[in-house]
Amino acid sequence: MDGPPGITITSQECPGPPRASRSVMAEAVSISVEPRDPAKNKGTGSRVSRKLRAAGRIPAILYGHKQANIPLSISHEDVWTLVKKGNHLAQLRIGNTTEMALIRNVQWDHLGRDIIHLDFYRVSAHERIKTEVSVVLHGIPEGVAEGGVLDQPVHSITVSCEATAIPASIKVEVGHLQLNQVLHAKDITLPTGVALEVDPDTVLAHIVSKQAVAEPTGTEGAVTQPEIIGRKEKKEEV
Amino acid sequence: MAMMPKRVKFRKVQKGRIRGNATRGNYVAFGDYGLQALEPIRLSAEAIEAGRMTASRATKGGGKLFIRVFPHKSVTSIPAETRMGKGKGEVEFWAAVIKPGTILYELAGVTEEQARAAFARVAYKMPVNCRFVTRRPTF
Repeated sequence: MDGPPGITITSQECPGPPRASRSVMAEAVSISVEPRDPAKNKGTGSRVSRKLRAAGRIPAILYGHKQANIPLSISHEDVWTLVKKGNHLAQLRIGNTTEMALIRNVQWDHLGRDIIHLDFYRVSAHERIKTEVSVVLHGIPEGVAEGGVLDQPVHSITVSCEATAIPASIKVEVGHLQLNQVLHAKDITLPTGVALEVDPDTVLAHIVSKQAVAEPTGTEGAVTQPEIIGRKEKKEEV
Repeated sequence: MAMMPKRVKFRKVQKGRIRGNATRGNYVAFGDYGLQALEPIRLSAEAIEAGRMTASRATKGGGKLFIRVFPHKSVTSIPAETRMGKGKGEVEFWAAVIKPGTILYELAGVTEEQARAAFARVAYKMPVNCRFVTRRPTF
């Protein structure tokens, strides 16, 4: 297996204890949402959204199941409750009706401080869906004590499961990993009813050798110019 | 040695203006923690290299450092006491165009305390205000 330059990583099957992976099912959070005023440009558009944000509400949209799209607005506090809990599922109370929805997309501002828009996708309780779930590594690998570095190339994986059984995260124990050992997606145990939707050979974690700190060399400061694309070198006159 | 492109189509380019905010490269994508620029600037290749070395030394070679910016733009200057005209000056340095929100560096394989300490040192080297950021939640 190829690794970073100068480091040879040998792919090995991980011996030792079975890969303990835990996951906590996220419960649907019930939040109150308001449909946007259809009198004002059908309740949509950047101008309406800007005014909502200024009033402390976050614009959102509910779609899916071949039903009409509903532009919504949610209070700032409710959105942060959802996000902090890492919930994928939400029970939206729109007037007298309640709809179960999956958070499909979250738009952040350029600094990643505030949420500026949410996409909700209608789901039924026992509908099988595909979603991204974060992978959380637990434990300090034995290989790290031997001078290695824990590398996590993938931070989330796609799984399919029932809407009400989405794990909040998949916790993977990596304490047994030795230097140059690799943990694949196929090595982890998923909760009942949850299936992997990525390549089973996807590397979730591996322990690589420490990279040497590059010290400044004597050639520093030597000015070199990049090659110019398409410029022919001048032929030397004889 | 400071970074620069290996091949370019044109050696000298126009100055341009840094407008707007970063709409890409503005979240932690590869590591666990990142250093985010809060102001627009042309970040020189030397400054990027200084930050890299500071982060590597602060983590003592541990962890994995990702440099998220590259100096694609050449900056020219003319020597002092030169008369007007005679064309554009020579390339002085290479710089990365940074918009507010751009992630400059990322770290993986270290604790949050180590990453905070390392990025505090790196931020001191940077010519702009920066802040420490973590990964966004997955949905």
